[in-house]
Amino acid sequence: MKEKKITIYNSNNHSFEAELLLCFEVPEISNKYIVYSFPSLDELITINVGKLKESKDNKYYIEELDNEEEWNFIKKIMFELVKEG
Amino acid sequence: MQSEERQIEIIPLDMSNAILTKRTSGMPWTLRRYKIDKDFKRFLSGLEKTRKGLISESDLEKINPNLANGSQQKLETPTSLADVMKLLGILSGEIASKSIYKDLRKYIIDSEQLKQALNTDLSYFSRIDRQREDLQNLSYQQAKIIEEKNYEISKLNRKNQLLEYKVSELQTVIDSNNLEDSYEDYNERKKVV
Repeated sequence: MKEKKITIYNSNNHSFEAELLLCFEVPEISNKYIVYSFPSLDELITINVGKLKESKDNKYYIEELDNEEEWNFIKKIMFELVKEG
Repeated sequence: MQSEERQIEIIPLDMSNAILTKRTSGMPWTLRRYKIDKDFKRFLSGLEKTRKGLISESDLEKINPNLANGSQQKLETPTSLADVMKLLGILSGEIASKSIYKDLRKYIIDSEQLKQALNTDLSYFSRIDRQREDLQNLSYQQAKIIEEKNYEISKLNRKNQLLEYKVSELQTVIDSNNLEDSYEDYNERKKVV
């Protein structure tokens, strides 16, 4: 599977390369979400999930999910996709 | 009592090679230490291929309360036994989605095991570090002793050289005295003859 790379800057303006797993919009709630992971030294990776916000100057920001319910919502989407994949 | 599930549209966005800035302060929302195996590959291909996932109405309403109608809003602050029973029904329905529950349990167990392994490693490393420090101190003390001994040896060597020089001087004196003695003996014997 072809890896899709993204560059993520943290609050200290340090850049990190990450693998983009999924980015999608849920039109019904007008939210965009991003699912990504950082390189791992072993076969276990951590999958990160954030809310994607686009600023007026066309820059993208990753924000935290609001709460446990939103997290469960995203997880459910992901696991449903696994089942269907 | 579980809410009816329906298809919700998901539009994939192409963000490859994008530059993003992280604007988070607390702990990130993560699926920790997910094993990259057959399921994970299915997971990734699923994410790539599928456009829709099954989401229940209640899930959607929790995310966007504006979608909820009057009767459902009551669920947020249950006021009657019926509401509580309804809420319990939804909650048990959620627990019934066991794959998430089981996975969460697995992540908790995995992270606990990882924590224990890390603690073992840490105590091992600190023990090694202490041993290294002890060895360093020991070798420093030994180096100091060797230096002192070397200094004493060089002092003794100098004394030895001086003594050897004196011995050779004395030997010269003795030799010259012996020579004189033998010459006198010779003269004495000559007189007798």
